[in-house]
Amino acid sequence: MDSNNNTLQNNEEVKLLNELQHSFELKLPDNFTDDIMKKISAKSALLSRVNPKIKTGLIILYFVLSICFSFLLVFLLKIIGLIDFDIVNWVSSTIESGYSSLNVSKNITTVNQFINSGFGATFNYLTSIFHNTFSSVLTLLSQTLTTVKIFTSQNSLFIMIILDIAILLFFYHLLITTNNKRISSR
Amino acid sequence: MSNKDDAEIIKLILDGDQDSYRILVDKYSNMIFMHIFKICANREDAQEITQDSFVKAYFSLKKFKGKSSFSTWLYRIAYNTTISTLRKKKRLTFTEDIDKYISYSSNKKWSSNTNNEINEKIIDETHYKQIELAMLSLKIEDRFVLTAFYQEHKSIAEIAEISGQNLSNVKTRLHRSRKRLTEVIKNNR
Repeated sequence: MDSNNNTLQNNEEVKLLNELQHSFELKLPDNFTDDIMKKISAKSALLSRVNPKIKTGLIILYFVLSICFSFLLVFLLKIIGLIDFDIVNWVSSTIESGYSSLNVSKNITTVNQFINSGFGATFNYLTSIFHNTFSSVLTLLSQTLTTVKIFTSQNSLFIMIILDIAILLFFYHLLITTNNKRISSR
Repeated sequence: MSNKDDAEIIKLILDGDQDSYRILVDKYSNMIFMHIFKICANREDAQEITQDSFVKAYFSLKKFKGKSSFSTWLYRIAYNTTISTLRKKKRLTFTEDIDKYISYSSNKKWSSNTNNEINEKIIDETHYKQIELAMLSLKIEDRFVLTAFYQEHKSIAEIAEISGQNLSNVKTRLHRSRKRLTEVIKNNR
């Protein structure tokens, strides 16, 4: 009985598939190719006009906006009393920690010496500042989340990393979308 | 025209002869348009997606390495553009009257109009309409696999390349789509 049903089912399928092959045709408008070529020409002309400096500018703007947004967020959190944060202390401690982390710090006593100490030292300094900034931001945000008791201090660190990436991606998306709209509206 | 011809045309385009792209558009536009139309069932959408696909293909031509044929590569762009456009729209809009487009095919097949033939034609059209409507109730990916395999006679390997899936996935999807289509038609009867 089962095998009969299967055979029936298979026969139906074969019939159906034969019928599926019966196709139909629609024609495109006569000027279709011309329309595509016009679109390509317009976009090519536009792309050739876009200055590479604008792209670089957009990337810089994206980073600046991201940093501004992070600061704004921190100030808002301070205003509503979720965190206790002193921006001046934070900047000075960041610079200080970067400076003191230099391996060659024993031989450097002035800023000029520091600048003249070469690429390796500068790189160390920047890395240190970046590390300090990043960990400060994470600590602050972690502190915030712990304060509002949404997350524990352990998992809030992970959540903050995700949030930070999301904020950066949001700005990136915003800039790219705005730029694309600007280009396509021309 | 062979693939070698396509390669020569592509070389000309990459060397700066933009107008040569017209040859490729003329050659493949109807094929791509019909493929998209069968998936989205909307003439305006299909035209728009076809245009977008060709524009995207033009600006990605540098990335075409010739590992597959140009048409397969173009199909892949069209497939991705269709999927993303339809997902953005979230629903399909059927401005094309299904009766209207089924009759296109029937007009091609039937030349004389004896009474018997007219009756058969009506039965035939109703049946094809059922199949096309059943196809539209399937997922986009299922419709694509069925259309590509049964109507456009593409191989499993080609479908895999166009959709970016592996061979066994395509085989499984083809099998499941067939079953689903049969069930939908059965239920509609």
